[in-house]
Amino acid sequence: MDMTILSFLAAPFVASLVIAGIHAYLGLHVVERGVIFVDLSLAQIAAFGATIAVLLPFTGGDPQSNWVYWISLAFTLIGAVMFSTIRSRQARIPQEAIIGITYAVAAAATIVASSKATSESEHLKDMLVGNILAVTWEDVGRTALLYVVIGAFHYVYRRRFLLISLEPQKAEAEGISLRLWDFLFYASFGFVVTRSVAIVGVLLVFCYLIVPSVGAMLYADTVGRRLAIGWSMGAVVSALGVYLSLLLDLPTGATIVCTFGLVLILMAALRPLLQRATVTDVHQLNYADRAHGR
Amino acid sequence: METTILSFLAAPFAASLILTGIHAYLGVHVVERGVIFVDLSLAQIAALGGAVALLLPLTSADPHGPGVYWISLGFTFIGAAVFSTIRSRRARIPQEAIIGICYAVASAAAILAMSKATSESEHLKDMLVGNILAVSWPEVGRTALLYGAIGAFHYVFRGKFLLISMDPRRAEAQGISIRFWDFLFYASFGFVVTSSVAIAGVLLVFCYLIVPSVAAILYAENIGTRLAIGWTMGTVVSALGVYLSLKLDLPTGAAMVCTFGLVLALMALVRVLLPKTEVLSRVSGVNG
Repeated sequence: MDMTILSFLAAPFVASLVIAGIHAYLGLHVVERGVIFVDLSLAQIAAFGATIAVLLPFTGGDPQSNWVYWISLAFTLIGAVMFSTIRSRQARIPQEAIIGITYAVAAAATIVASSKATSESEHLKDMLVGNILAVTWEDVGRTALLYVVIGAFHYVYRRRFLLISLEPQKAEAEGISLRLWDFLFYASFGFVVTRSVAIVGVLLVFCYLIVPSVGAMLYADTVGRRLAIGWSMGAVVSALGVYLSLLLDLPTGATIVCTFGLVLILMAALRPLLQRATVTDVHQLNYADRAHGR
Repeated sequence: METTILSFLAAPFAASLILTGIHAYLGVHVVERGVIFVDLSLAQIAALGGAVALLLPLTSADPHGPGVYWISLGFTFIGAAVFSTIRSRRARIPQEAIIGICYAVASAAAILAMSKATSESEHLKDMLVGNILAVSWPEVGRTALLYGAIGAFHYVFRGKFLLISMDPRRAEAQGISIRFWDFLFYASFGFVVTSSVAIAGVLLVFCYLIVPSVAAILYAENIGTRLAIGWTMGTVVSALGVYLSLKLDLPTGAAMVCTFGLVLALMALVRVLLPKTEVLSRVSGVNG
């Protein structure tokens, strides 16, 4: 490829590696905890917060400004608190309904808010699939710094975080405060997702979070191996997605999402050829039982 | 309000009544069955089908033409088939992850399809929140006919449909074929959602489906009462949403979704603040 194109792609590609790195790890927890749609909703709430923030006069309309990040983060954390409150209570309304309605309302509210701003239509696409090609080295640097700090925090306390996600009963038995560490998990998750959504949009954040982890679950049981597979998949799909988007002249973020889907299907299709089935298959939830609180 | 504005709103309001009617009913089933996100994904798959159909020469890019409807319906049925297959199997991947990934990929694929069509940006907003103000009387008529037929079908077999959604074990014990009636449920659901998404968009269809039913659960146990509450809420929110969108100059579908959210929050607040009034459940009698 032409050198200018490659240099133009350098920052976006590094951004995707940075994002893939932290999200593949967080995604492992998310899938184990079974909070998949909570994260879609939180990402959308973050996007809504950012849209509101950009409209406020003191942020100067710059989507990459620090003010926008902090306001967006506030929305995300409020959302996280709300979701953890409804999680533990027996309510007449199924939690999934609340999570779904929050997602839909947050998305619509974002549309309403951006209708009051200029250039609304591009905002909508950016909300969903981001604009990774427009990322600057400065953005990459700030993002990498934040994620390294969060990553280091999670590395130092890795034992605790993994235990509360994978084996919460055992954690409780050991006297670890689930509430505190759950809160710390969701707080760090909030910090990351708020930043990522600004670069890659709601749908692509969701993919970076869920797909590598799910792909890895097809092939491995241990955390270490799952992380390795997840990171590889994230990196490969990012590169492939960007390449295809340039080749076929398609919106980049959307192409990366579809590439995630295709590669996952491929990995799932190849699995019987590469591995014998194991007994660790997950028993599927009976949704009707869940809906009736059984 | 001026009569010209009112007459301009007549068809959209009629459309919203029809949407409310069928969706509040289907939503009762959806919430009982706990398939909330499956329906968000199916609505998005229907929208993807519509976007792809517009690209094909045979539909000549007419979004209200039959070609677009049938192709969109085809996508929806395939999606429903995929979801019902993964439902019953032991797999290494949690179903929710698959449903979520399908939703995200279908959305992105629709964005890709639209990027290859002309005037992409408005299509994206239409995909999410529809364009109910642009609905025509012929469209209202066709939709009313289709939903009337589906509604009649569900009314005639209401005993079976309600039983398999609310108490599948009892249904099985009575010898009713769950597979068959489940299939009929999802098929009729597919017909409805495909045509609703074309008018109201993915997010608003999801709201019409879930919010009235959820609000009704707050106040009643009996199906009849829940439907009454759901229909009332849907109608009121539709009117209020359209009114607000005109008053505040906001995209209509999006304003309606937000109105659904606000009214639901209000109804929940009122429920929490009211003393334990079991009046509604007592009046409506035994839980059906």
